[in-house]
Amino acid sequence: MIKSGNLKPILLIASFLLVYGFSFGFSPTQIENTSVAEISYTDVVAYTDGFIAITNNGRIDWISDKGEVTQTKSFEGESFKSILINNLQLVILDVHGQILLFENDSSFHKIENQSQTIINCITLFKNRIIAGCDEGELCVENTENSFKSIQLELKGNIVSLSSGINDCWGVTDQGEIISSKDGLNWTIFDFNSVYKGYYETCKFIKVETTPNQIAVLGINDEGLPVLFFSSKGNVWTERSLLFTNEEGVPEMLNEIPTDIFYDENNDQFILSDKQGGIMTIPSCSHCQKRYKISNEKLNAIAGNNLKIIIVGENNLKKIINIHSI
Amino acid sequence: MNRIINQLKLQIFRLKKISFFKKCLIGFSILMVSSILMALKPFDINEQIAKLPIYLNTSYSFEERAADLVSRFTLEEKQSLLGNSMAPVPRLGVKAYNTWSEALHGVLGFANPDAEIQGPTSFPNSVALGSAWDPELIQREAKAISDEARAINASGTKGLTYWSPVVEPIRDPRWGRTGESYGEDPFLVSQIAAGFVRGLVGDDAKYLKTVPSAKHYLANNSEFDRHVSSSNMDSRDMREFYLAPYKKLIEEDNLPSIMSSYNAVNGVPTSASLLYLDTIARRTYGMKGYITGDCASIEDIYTGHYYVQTAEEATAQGLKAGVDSDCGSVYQRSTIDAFNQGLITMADIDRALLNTFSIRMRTGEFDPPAKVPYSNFQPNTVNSPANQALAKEIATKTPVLLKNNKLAKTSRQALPLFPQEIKKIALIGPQADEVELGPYSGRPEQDNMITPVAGIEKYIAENGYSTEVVHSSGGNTASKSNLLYVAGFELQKSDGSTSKHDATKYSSASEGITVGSGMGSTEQVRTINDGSWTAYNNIDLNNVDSIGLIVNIPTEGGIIEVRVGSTDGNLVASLDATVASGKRAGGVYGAGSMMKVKVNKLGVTEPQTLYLCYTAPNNAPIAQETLDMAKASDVAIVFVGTDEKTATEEADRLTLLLPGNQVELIKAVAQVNPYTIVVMQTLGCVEVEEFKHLKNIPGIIWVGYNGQAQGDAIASILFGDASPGGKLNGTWYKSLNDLPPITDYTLRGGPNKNGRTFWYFDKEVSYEFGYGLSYTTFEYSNFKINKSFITPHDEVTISVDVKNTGSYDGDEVVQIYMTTPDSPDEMERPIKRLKGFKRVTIPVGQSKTVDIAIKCADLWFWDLEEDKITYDMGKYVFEIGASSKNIKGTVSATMGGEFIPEIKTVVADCGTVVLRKGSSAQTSLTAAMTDDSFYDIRKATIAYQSNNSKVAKVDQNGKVTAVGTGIASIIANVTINGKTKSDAFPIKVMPNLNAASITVNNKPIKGFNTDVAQFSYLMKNVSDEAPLVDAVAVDPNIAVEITQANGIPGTALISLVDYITLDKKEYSVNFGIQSISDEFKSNSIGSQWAFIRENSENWSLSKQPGTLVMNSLKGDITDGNVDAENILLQSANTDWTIETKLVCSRKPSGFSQNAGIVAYQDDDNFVKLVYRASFSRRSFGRANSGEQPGSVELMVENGGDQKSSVMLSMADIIKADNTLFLKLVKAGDVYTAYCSSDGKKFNEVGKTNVVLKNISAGLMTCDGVMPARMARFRRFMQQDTEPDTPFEVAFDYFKISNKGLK
Repeated sequence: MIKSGNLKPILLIASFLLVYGFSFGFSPTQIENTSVAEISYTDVVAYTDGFIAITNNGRIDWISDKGEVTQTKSFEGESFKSILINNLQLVILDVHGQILLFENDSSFHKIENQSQTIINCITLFKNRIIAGCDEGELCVENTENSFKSIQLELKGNIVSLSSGINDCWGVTDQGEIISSKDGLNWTIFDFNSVYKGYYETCKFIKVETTPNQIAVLGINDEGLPVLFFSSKGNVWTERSLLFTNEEGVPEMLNEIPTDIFYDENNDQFILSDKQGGIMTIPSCSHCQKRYKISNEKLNAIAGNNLKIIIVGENNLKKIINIHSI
Repeated sequence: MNRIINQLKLQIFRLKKISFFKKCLIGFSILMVSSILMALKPFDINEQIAKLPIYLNTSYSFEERAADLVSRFTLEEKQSLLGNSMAPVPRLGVKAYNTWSEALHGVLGFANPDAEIQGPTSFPNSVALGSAWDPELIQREAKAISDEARAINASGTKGLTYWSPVVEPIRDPRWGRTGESYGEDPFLVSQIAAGFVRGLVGDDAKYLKTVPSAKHYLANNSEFDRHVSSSNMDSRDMREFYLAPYKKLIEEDNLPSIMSSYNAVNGVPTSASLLYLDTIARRTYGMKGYITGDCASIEDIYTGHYYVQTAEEATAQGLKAGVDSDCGSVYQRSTIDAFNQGLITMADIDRALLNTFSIRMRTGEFDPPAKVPYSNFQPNTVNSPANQALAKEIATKTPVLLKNNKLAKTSRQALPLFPQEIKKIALIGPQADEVELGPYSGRPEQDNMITPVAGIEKYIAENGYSTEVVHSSGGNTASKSNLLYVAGFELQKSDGSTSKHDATKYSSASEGITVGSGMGSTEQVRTINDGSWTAYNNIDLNNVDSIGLIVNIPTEGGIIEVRVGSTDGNLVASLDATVASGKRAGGVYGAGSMMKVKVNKLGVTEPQTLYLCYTAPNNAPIAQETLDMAKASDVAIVFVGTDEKTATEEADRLTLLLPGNQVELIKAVAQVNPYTIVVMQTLGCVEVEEFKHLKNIPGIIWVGYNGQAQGDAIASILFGDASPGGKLNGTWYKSLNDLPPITDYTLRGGPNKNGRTFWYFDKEVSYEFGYGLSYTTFEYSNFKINKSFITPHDEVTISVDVKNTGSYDGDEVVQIYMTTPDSPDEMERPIKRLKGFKRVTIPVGQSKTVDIAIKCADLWFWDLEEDKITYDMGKYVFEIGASSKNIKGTVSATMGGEFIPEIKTVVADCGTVVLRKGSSAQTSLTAAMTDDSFYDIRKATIAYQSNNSKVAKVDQNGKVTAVGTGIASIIANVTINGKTKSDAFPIKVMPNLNAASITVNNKPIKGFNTDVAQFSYLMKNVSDEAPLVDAVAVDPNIAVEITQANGIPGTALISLVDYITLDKKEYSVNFGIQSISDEFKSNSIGSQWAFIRENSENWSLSKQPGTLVMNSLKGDITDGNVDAENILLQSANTDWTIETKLVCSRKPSGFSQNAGIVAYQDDDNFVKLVYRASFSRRSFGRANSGEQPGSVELMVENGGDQKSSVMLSMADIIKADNTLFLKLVKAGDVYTAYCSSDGKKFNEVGKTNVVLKNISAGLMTCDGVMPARMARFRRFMQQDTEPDTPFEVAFDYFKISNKGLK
């Protein structure tokens, strides 16, 4: 939902930048002599009719809905990890845990986030940037446009956040699920504790919210991918990852998933995996399919009303017509 | 189990502790003494068991235990349990469970080396089993399947419910799932399916071994449009043909589950039909068990059939119709919303869960394993040597010998083969070295998958023959059905512009073309056959460079020629959209990808009619080396067939020809080898006229997909170790042209339309229903019937002597067909119907007397006018034969006398699963008769009883009164014409959570009434100290927990909690002071007021002096939102009446712009009475555009959930001055809303009740938000006519008068 750019603007972002931001003096450079094989897209987000993808070597690509890179900016020494769009403003997390605001097509401003640990993920929730960090820490943009550190009693590192209109959800690599209605007060659901003996112990990778469902993607003790759904967050139902392969034969998903995206138009989730596959998960339990679209590891999925984009290692980007999967 | 006991002990301890410390020292002493005594007493297991919750206590019935369990779930848990993937509920010890498993001809599963489980055995598929005509045989197969299922389940797989068998009769052989059906005649289907059901459920009187679910209820007999189409028929076809197998299985074999289908029947989606599911399946046939929707069938109710508009409405339709479990996530996402919207009741949810959990209980899931007879199957049960042998045995009994001519050379029949006489045998054909299993079975170990080549080679080797076996495929099975799905095309011009066209919007098309979306959401041109075309008028081809076609290849693909003017007009472009050309197959679920081709410049400037002409790829030529091999062999056996690319779920056949170049292969081989045997393994009938008469093909065998041992079995048949004994289970039509359109679900023929099946098809066929030869011959004689005059209440025995007159031991299937020659022509009775059969093994030279019993009750027809079963009077001829045409003799009897229907099925319920102590419910009853009509229950003799009158009593009018906590079953005995049938339903009586009394500073509340949840005191002054509140529960087992008020104003909260069920009732006592009215005449806001999220720029007391003006701002506090600004509040923690006058600058707009009175605890707990824009989900993008007359709405939110909403439209009420008067009256927990356009005459809008604490009251104005549940539809809700002016509301006054106890 966030990736579709539906959230409201961050209020008073300019003053926020004046007070807390300082310019790194980044300036766009053209990519020169860069080995394509070394470059991986790490995240992607829908942007107007197309997409914006970021790479592990500090590059931002504006990609049309046909898959063509229409504009590129590169920032030496940077390695980008995660991107959000706040209307037309880019919010980017880099591998060093810095949150960067991109303005005027020319420079970044670093936001002082006060985190003492590594930031793993970011989301926008009710006009606040929220960052999920290691060791159960959250950095939440407060009303004074500064970041406030919130330490939750978590065992794990917060690895993914996702926001809906009313709720923000997060997951940890120790199987905890956190949620908040205001970004400041959080409840913790210790999945592995509640479901001990009923589900395998899980480590979570991603969370995705929809208007009436929360999806949590992870890996269980046996190293197998798992997907759980919940409507309110107190009861979690496992979704079998049995799918029909391209030969029409049923198979269980064994590949390690990397991202999950809710395709609103088709009311289905799409998983990407490390082995270059995507798997569609519609409401219908026996209609799941997996398509091998690449030999590269896929890292992220985004979509708009018509197209889905999947990005991954070795500069991989695939545009898929929303109606073709 | 220990975990549960420990949890229970903890709860009991907690309960005792709370009760005790809240009550008195005497109780404490008693408890201490009894505890000491308990400690001294030896541990009593029976006592411990008695303390088990009812759902774990095996002394109760499964239904009672299920009711108890259901009563303990929270609403969120209930929602999570309504899908096929059911969540665990650890606090109750309920494990995760998946109702979806498949076992059509073997458990759909995989090898699990960790559990030492091999790949499950795959037995012959349904169409093969139907051809064996042997219910006992399939029962053995199903027993083996259920053995393996139990063993697999014991290894941790969660679920013993299997969505098998398919019991739809084969109406049309093009149906993509023909291979999953047992045959064309409902009687045959019923008998074979009954064997399957018996094998799966096991033979224990109490426990189900596994749970079969018959599908797809009903009339899902075509695939291509089943998500959107309606199978239309009269009630006669419905009852006699489509429903007949379900009737038999439910009434006679206690079928525990059915699956509702995707399609509609006569315009109503089956999954939303109370008539089909509840009235017919449950109340007429008497089904006890659970109904699952087919996967996404609930979704199809609103996205395919558009029968309703939202997921919540589809959920309500499904649950109320009787679909207990949704294979999908609609129920699991929408049930709570449907409940909150008032579309369903808790009883609707509980009833569905009761049905599902009753079945789970019956598998023994909640019982000690030692009590469950099926709990000890070991991993090595799966694919055991015995099951492998059974797979082979069954596979030798399914083949049907279609042709076996005598060879001039040997003067013997062509089959069996004598390997000692054969030097070289050629095994030819694309299926010779393939094992085709068919869908919905497990994947056996590769070593156990025996192809014909492997089986024959093994046979030759094991028997020491020197025959040389050679093999060549020589052909292919490339599908010529469903060549392509085409969604659209784009014309790209040299100037860079593109025009897009929807392929489904054709101006004309060839016959048979359809539009559909299958499981997806994109509509496509479908059912494209070789030679199909679609045309598009007025296409501008000027300067077009290329054309992009959005195409999916379901199987092998085809060629699209783009032509102008006509199907043979100028060729503009040609696209080779075939897998052979390197394009990727998307499968039958796929939607499409763009494929581009260059356009030949034609120089046309005017718009043209564009034709897309579809052709199948040319057949591959037959390899010469294959023919050389055939020619050089003594015998050539051509193995041909169909596979899952020919037809399957979601894909019907468009042709009955063998796919690929197999017909050419057969003919080519026959040309070079005079001893050519054809072995066809297909999903059903194929057209054979091109080769069946060829002299060089003296032998033809057909078999359905014959399981993992198909190669071994065919070797045994070919070499004569077993004689073929199968009979065709369907008519083999000469041509596709003999069939009506596949969408025609009527059976009887008419002008220019042939009838369907051997019941009504009267033309010549290739092979008739029931046909099948043997290596031996049988002679029929001595035809007898034991009665010449019959009534529907009789049973007759028909007997015949059958002698094996040939030279092989063999099996014969004796078949009995019924005709009614005395029936008037206008009744259009079937030509004949199968009414009995028996497969017998007869050694050479021996005779057997075959007795076949027929219940005359089974000879019914459906009376269209009376809507019940009827019997034609007169002569009934019973034809006894070896097929439907090869009749050896007849016997007859005359039907006469009176048919007296008897009571058959009683269904009793009282509309709820759970009652509170002291409350009551009325039992409703239906009684169905043996003619499938309903009896007027008022005329029946009814006796009610309760099996536990300490819990629930029932009077002789069926009124159930809950008198004590626990479970009772209410039994209704219905007697009609001296015969009695009964039904029972469980009632869980929840504890009484009422307070006996509440005191304030030790004084009882005046006028205390348990129905009132909130009491208010009007105090004189604000204070830090509030009076002390205490309470006593009616039921001493109920814990009383009190949170005192922090001061005045303040609220004391009394919670009465049942720690067994975790159920809770709350009372509150409010302490408030006098509130202050305001005429808003001052320049500043009064000190009594405070803002929530004040935005001072948007309210004013000076803009319109004498009023408080508020501009609406984005946000609201409804539906989980917490962002409405400028909520003006003052304390109002008493009962009161509030009135305000609001003058709006214009009428509201948007989704829910609103203004009015609010009673507020916090953003998640409030009551609002507002004048608002009327969002309507039934009118996307219309009613919510621009200004609207709007509505007055009373809504309440409690705990963040919107609990109820009452709306009164202001159309024709609100005047042009946009002035409205609102009044909200609070009395206890009841809020009553009024509105008026003149301030004099107030109309009641509605009432709601909610317990709010620390209440403030005041005014607010906001833009509102779109309800979250509608967010996914927002693309339909463009609001392009929003007014430019703000929604500005002037509140003239806020008048409040407080009331309260003193």
